[in-house]
Amino acid sequence: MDRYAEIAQHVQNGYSEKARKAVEAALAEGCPAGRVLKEGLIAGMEVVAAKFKSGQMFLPEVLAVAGAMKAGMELVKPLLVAANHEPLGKVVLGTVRGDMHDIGKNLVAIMLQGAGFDVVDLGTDVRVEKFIEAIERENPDIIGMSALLTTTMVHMKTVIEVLKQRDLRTRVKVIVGGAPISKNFASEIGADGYARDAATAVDVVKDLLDNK
Amino acid sequence: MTSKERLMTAFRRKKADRVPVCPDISVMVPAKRTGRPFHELFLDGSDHTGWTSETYTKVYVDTVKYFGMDGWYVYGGLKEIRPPDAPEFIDTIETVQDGKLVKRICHTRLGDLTEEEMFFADEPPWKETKPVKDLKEDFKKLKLWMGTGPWKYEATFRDRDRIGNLGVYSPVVPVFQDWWFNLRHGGFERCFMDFHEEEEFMEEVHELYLEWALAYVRALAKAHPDEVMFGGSSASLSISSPALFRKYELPLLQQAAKICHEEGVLAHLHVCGRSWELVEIVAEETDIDVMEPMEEPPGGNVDIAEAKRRFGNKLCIKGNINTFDFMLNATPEQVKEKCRRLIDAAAADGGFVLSTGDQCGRDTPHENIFAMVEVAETYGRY
Repeated sequence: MDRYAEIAQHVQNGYSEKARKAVEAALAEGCPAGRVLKEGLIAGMEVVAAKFKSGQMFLPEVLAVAGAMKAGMELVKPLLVAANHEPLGKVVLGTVRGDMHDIGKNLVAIMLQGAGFDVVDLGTDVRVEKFIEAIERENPDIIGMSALLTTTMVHMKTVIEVLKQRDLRTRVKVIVGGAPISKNFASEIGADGYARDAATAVDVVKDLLDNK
Repeated sequence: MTSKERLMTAFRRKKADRVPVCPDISVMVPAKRTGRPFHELFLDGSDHTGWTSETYTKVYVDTVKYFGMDGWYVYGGLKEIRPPDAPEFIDTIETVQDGKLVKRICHTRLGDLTEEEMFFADEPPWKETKPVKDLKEDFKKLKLWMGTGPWKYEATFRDRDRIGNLGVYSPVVPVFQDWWFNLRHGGFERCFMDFHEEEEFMEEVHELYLEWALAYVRALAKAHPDEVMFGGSSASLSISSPALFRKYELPLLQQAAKICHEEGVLAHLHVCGRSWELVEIVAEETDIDVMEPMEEPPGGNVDIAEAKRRFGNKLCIKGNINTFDFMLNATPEQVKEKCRRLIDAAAADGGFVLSTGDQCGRDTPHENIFAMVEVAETYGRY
């Protein structure tokens, strides 16, 4: 097994320490950071995303994988920054106002980072102004809003309306998700995309960026 | 038959006079019906043992009468008789912009445990901080608060008569992942990382939990409720895994069901969201009598006809209409149609309770709940 496959395997197994050591060894042997990221860390995460999407893997296992991914990324990221390696895109995420549920949103963040995106996580109970400030500060390609409650999902529409009022709607694409969210609801409120789960969110984000 | 008799007959996998109908209306539908701020209902200052509050339990029973449904009272329990020197949580309530913030502090000889819970006027309450922030240090304090046994309880339920014949009295015991999620600061992710990174230490935590939970189940069973419900929302496969269920929940469920049966009490498991993979484990490896809400997509992944075909001889099935989309947005006619389909799929020979998935949302149209009741009373006759 080559170094890249070894890294990918440790990521898939959720072995943080082994992943970190394999990345360390790969870099010491002169493997380019970009290849370590793409063929090692991201390759491992892609397998995990596919298994999660098909129901063969479960959230606790994905969280362990995220730990392994993070352990490897900590070594690779400074080298990528130094080499001006471009992420696939930038996504701002947040759970909307009044809603403290974050596991789905966090999972989307894990999957997006694992796929090579730069993610800015605003946390939970995010009010409209915080989304607006983040768009102006971070200049993301996409904002993603999450809600678990039927009483809070309505705030997604408010955010989109304020984006229009502030002439920001054309600057960013908007995706929404969460247990009570449906494709119809996403269309009704004027979102660009809807993802039924975290792995699908990566596909939706990639499609939106391809068509931007 | 009374509602209690009807539900108990179905729970025993027998045919009642008709299919019982017991949508999960807790807790937002009854709360909204009052027109009062929710925090007023939940923070009533009463000495209530169990989930919610004295005021809310009355509101629930009123709502059961309003809809004419078969009631499922999961708000009671047995009061613990604590040692006189046991440290206690002391509450202070602050009025804040969005409602009431309850700050709780428990002084132990090893330091304080603290938690904060926000109660809103029109949304469910939410714990903003929880007692166990530093896993190992706070667990020592937690042990001082909960004790290490033997735990003692009053012999009878104080609110047993509140639901009376309008439904079943079903005190709740949390499964391990629910219990830990309620105590551990940092949400599900932190809990799962505890299981992953601190496996050995979590064995110790689980051992204490199991001793306490079984002691409580024994006390509950001896007080003879209609059934004991094991609250397993956090074991849902929407967030957890079959491996964690086997490791942390199966030991309790296997032992607890036997303890309940020795006293002639039924055992009921609630696991919302995705649960199909767990239905098989529960049916084949435990003596649990009732499992619900066996949610349909998109919230869950249970085909109720398949559940009935494969496990109807082991489990009473209660479920499974989606709440967060269908019950909120469907017309009463659509609800009736779905109820008729569910009855066709799962009600033959009894052992089925027409119900919803987890908790109907606050804005669920009352007409849709009335529609469920109407179908059970007409189409659901045996």
